[in-house]
Amino acid sequence: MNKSILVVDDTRSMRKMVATVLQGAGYDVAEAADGAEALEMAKGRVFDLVVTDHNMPRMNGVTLVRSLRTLAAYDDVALIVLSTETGPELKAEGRAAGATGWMAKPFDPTKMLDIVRQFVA
Amino acid sequence: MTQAAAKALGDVSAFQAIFFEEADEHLLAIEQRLLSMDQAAPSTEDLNAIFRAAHSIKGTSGMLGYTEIAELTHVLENLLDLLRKNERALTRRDVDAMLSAGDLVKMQVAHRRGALAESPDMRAIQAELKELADATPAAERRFAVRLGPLAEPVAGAELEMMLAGLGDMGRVSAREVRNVAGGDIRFEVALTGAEADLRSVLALVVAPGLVHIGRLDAVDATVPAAAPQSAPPAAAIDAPAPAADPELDLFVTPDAWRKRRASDRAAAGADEEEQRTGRRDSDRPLPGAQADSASIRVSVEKIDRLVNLVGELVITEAMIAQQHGDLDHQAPHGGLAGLRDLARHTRNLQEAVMSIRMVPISAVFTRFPRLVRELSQRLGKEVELKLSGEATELDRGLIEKITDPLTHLVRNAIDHGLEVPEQRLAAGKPRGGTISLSAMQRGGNIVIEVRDDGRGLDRERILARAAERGMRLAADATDAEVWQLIFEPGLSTAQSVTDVSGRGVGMDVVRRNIQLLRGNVEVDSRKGEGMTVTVSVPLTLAIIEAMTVAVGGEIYALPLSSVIESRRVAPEEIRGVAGQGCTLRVRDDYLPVQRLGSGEIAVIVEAEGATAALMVDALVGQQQIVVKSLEANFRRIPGISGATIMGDGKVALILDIAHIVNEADRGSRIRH
Repeated sequence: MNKSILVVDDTRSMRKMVATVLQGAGYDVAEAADGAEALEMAKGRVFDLVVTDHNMPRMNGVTLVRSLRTLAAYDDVALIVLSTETGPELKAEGRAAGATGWMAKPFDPTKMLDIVRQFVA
Repeated sequence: MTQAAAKALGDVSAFQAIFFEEADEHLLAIEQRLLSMDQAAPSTEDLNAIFRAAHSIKGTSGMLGYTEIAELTHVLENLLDLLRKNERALTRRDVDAMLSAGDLVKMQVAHRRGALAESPDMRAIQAELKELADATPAAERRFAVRLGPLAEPVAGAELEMMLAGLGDMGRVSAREVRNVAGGDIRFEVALTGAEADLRSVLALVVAPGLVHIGRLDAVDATVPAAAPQSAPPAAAIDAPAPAADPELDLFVTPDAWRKRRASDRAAAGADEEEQRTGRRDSDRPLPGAQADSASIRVSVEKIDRLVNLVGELVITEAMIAQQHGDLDHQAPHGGLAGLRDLARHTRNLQEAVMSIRMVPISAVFTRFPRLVRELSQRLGKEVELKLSGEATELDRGLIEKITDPLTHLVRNAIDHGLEVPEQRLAAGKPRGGTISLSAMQRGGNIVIEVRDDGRGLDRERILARAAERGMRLAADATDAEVWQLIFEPGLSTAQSVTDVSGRGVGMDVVRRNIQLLRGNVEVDSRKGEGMTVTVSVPLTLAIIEAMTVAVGGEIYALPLSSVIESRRVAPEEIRGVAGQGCTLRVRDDYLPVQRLGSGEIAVIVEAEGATAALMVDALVGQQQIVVKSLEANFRRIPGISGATIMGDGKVALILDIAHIVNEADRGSRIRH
């Protein structure tokens, strides 16, 4: 079975871009439009990796990461934040919440695939 | 972006299309929030929503290489970030600058889409936004500082000097000094300066590597209040220096990750592993995963095609029913029941398809806050706009056509209706005027009201103006009759000509446009209390209730809404000289007669306030017809507004009553 990745972003175009890149590499991609929706989806199904935006309505990315880490099934699932915001304080907050990495937008698709490949293995 | 990267992304035009749509939505949302929020005390929710919209546009435009958009939304976002974090109080200049920025982004998007030839210059607005953001007084921030582990104690004098220095920059508190080898010095400091300044002061006493600084109040307004506390300051203090790669910061190396995972899995019992695998196998799409399918985007062309096809189906169904009606009793019963079902399903299908074209009137209303704001500023008036019934739906085609007339009415209300604050106060009214826009569905019509509490119509002045133009009314004419005069071409009651509403062109154009939609306009007013204009239009343009008449072997359709009555007339009732127009006496009125056929049936019709009698051979019936554009299928013909296909498959032309009545009216006037 293909590895599954959950892509979380409230911006449809951005979500589709990330999803397209990952689908192109053969991953099974599910999409959520904000942290709250992602958390609900993650509770019903364990994804192999999560790529999430930070700034979203209802629940932001860092809070999603923190919430996912409270689920036993997400102990060892890589959670990557993909955001235009790259301030050191926010990154530190993401790290403390349990994020695996922080990637800046605009992102380089090859670099994203490279990282994803290393963490879904 | 490298070639390989571009390849990974594939065809970007698909994303561009999504982005254009999305950008329009976000820009509209930004504008709406900016206009509707309370400037004195903007809600965090509004500011966050605006921030997110700008942020979204920035993110995707960066990916698509739309650097001008990305740069402008970036400075916009900076200003919004200060606002939403309460580091800056919202000013009117902020709102104006953000509105302009939105406009420019809109233009730039239009340019990228190919709808605008020139790329707008965004530098001025970018500088303005930056200036606003830079002019923000720096807010005080709190840092947790740890110096250590110390290789050796810091000299007491140096430590005092450093603390005194920090005291000058801000306030130091919660000191915990273990000034021994291997110990550390911890304290909190609140200051307005940058973290880098703090770091450089601290580095005067200890090696830079021993300086650990964490933000204590790194608030992200979108994070629930409890969230920052769950990340202990210690963790923040231990945060590493920014990674070398600004685009990617891995908190765990892939190797460490794999090892940790391997050991985790080994540690987890086989049972649990099985359980987990079991759960994975039961993977299935969850309701949440389908959230996107709650609505889909469909092009207007596809819907129009669907509407047309359903129109054909309705006609075919009517044809079958008619043929069947001819056969009637010979048909077997099963066929009859089947036909009834077909009729019912067709009607339901038609309704369902028409409902797809329905759009909430908020699509029109949303433009008015901006209009009202700009106009009232320009005219020095204070105006509050109240909207209601925005969810009322009407046909998409109508939405486009009703926008101009409504805009005109709102402009009129602000320009001519509402008084300036001084006049209002003198009249014992509140300083600010109110304009209410409401929409509701009443039967097959949408009724839209534009109400203002301004000076109202001046009966005497309208009558005087009308007299100047040779229009006379009886002295005891009712107000309603007097108000009708404002729909006459060239009659404006504005004392001064302004560039906002102009002179004279206005209400007559509004009425004509509304009548083209088979609707009507009514005015109610009381001097000093304001005016209400009520616009009523049919829900949809595609299907109308029509009267069908026979003329010279052809069938014509007349919109039932314009038919007043029909009756048989004797030839001697029609008077006048042939070729110069005839009149028919109906009660006390002499109506111009338009002969369509040689028959003796008169259909009295009304349009644009004028009445005429159409002579036809016979009345055929009354039915719903699907309106087809003649222009689109053939060419425009004066006097004909469209065509429809009748139950027997024949084409019937739909008469343009307004045109015919005007022609008839002109004919009879020549005679006078």
